[in-house]
Amino acid sequence: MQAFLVILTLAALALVAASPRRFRPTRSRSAVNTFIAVWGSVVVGILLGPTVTALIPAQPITYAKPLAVLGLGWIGVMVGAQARTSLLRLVSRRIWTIVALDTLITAMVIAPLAYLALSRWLAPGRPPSAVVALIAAAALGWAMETRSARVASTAEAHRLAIVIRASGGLLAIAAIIAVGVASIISTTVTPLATAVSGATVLVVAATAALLLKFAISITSGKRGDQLCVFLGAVGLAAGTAAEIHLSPLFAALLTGVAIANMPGKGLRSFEAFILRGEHVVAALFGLTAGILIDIRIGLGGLVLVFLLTAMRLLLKPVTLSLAIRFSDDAPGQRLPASSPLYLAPIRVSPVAIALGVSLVLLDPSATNNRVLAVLLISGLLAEVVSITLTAMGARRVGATKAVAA
Amino acid sequence: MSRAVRLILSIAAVILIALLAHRQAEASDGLLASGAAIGTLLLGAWFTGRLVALITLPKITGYLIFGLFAGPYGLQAITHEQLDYLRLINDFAISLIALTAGGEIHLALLRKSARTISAILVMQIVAVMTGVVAVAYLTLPHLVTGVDFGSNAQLLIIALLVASVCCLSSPAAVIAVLTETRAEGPVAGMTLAVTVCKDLVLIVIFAVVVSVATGVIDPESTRSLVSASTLKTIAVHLLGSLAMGAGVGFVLAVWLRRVRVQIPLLVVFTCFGIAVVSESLHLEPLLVALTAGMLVLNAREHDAEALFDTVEELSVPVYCIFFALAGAKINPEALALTWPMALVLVGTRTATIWGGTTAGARLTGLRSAWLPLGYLPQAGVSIALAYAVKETLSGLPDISDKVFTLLLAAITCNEIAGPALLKLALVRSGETQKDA
Repeated sequence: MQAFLVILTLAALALVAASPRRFRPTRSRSAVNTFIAVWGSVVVGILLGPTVTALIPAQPITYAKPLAVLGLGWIGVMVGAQARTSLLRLVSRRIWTIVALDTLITAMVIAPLAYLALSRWLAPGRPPSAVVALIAAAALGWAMETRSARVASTAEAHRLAIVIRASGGLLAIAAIIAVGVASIISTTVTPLATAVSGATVLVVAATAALLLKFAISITSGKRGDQLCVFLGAVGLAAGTAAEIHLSPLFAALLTGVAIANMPGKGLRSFEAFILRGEHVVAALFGLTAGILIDIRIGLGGLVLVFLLTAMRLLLKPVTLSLAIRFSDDAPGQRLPASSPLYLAPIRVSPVAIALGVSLVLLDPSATNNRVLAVLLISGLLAEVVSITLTAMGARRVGATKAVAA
Repeated sequence: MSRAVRLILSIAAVILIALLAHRQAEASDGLLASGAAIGTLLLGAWFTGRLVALITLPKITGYLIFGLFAGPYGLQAITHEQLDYLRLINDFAISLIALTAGGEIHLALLRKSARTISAILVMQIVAVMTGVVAVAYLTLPHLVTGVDFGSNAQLLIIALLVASVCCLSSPAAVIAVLTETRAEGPVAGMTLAVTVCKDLVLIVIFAVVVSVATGVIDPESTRSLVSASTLKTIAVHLLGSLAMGAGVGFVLAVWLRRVRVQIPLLVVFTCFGIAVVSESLHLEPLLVALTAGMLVLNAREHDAEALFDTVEELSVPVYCIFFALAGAKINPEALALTWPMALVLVGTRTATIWGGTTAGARLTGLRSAWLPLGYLPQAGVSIALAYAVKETLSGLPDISDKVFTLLLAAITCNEIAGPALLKLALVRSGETQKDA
């Protein structure tokens, strides 16, 4: 009976939390809608997980881990598929400046902070460098969703929204690469072994992409076949990386990059097909993340949560403003001097959830579980803060329409 | 380069990557590696399915062959540890296949053909049980050497156990071939309906035979041959599965009528839910999902279209992984060890299924020479029953091992040849669609 209740609750809550309307908020009460999106699934997962109601038994959670690897693969490919060279060439210098500045500030401020907090509270002694890199990478960038920020729908605001989305996408790629490289370095002891591991990931990703390309060319556009070969390629790339204790997200990202840059008919429509499943994957993934975490993070964990959130609150809007100020406006590309949209980067990128889950999947130690919990709780907190501040700012300037970006 | 060569190279690449990963992983962690196993099975099986389709074999034969070659008894690209962690995926696949089967059964058509279905079902079960029991009783002591089968009663009960496993066909294989060929017509409809009904009847028959066998093999057992508790367990098992299936079907129907969004997520959650809950409540996931699918189709046919479209989209990866997993569990050594008796068993099963089906069809005026071929495939449920036979005979370790190996060998033959013969029957009956 308990299992039956679990499934009913899980299904009902996840379906409500994951409805497309909540992922693509365009109507009223946008703050509530946005908050519910992927974070809603995380909250549902936490409620059903071992630390709150313990409604989900341990065994199904264990057996769901292979599916979580597939989910990571799906996310990695989706992020990697954005890195098409023809699109990257169109990215303005301003956006590259934002990416560089955010990466620099995160490396200079968040990474040392994570190291100190970890060594002081979560993993006394010398904290693993891969975990430090992961916390810093999870802090890179911001959510790419801007429609819910209900600011005046002017051309300038529209351009700013595009800048936020584009830089968020590039920073998500940077975050996954950082964690991938850190996982390779931390799991090998000699330079030769590092090179072999790196080459293995590259070979696996390239082979998976080539196999996928060939498979797609003979699917005749049938969705069932497309889904099968996509899941197969994703499982092969992400799963193989996980098996050799490297980042599944990184391998999948490289596969996505390769797919996006391969010539071939049918690949573009295939990308659209992959995107159709984004909210299903996000809902399932948010649930898995919520179920996996242990929210009893202790005082040290709480301090880290508040530090990470405070740093986002202080640094992200400043980073965006500074980068924009120091890069010249191209003709006709002027951005607003002030806008509530400058507060949108406080929101954590959903890729942070995937990074945290990958850490726990590869090594489900108590420390890593607490790190995942810290990432998720600080993400939730940042979400609430950002939404509240953006809504307050929008009310003050009297904006009523959402930015369509 | 021809398509066949490119497909073979792709299959080789998939297997090589899996082997490379096993080699590079310092300590094999089955749980972590199971993600890679999903990828290997999906991609490798899909390519092999395409390859065998070039010689007009059904794709599921390719999925099985890939599982066999890449599995723990073949090249070991998939290991036993990886397979253990794919149980949830396998149960999910069973639920989705059964949901598809339920979505194919129109109650109106079932009522119209009830006489024919009953006649074929009864004649087939009688023919297979009689024929296989007789042949097994007479030949087991001669062809399975080095074992003492004990008293005549014991030999008879062993023959009965073997016969009840032989009776079973595979609803999953039938559904997969029907989906692939998009076959419609009397052979397709009758094959599916009889296979599904036979599955339900055989659950009861098998439970009774196991109960009798336990009494015969263990003379000190105090209970009667068919105890009231056995019958009660069977009734709870079947009625519970039907009740849960009806409940799930009701929820699906309400969702399709009132909510109508997130159908893919609904299907995924429903199938996982059925898999997890059926296991914890000791119900039959196949029956639960089948009932749910039937209820949705017959209660809300118009709304059900969206549901079954999604189910069809998910069916290709599900068939790939389900049949590749089934193939990976095939032990070719079993066939090598017991092939003479296995061939006798397969031959007898084929002949009696042919005879029983033809007799049942003629009794009700149905004329189709190809219909009997539809009942030959066997797969996962038959293997599960073979394990149950092994457990039932565990008091006789020598016999139990030999009989289990023999059953696995026979099931292997039916598993590989059955789908191809079913496709042949559908093609020859002119019920397949050209674009399939």
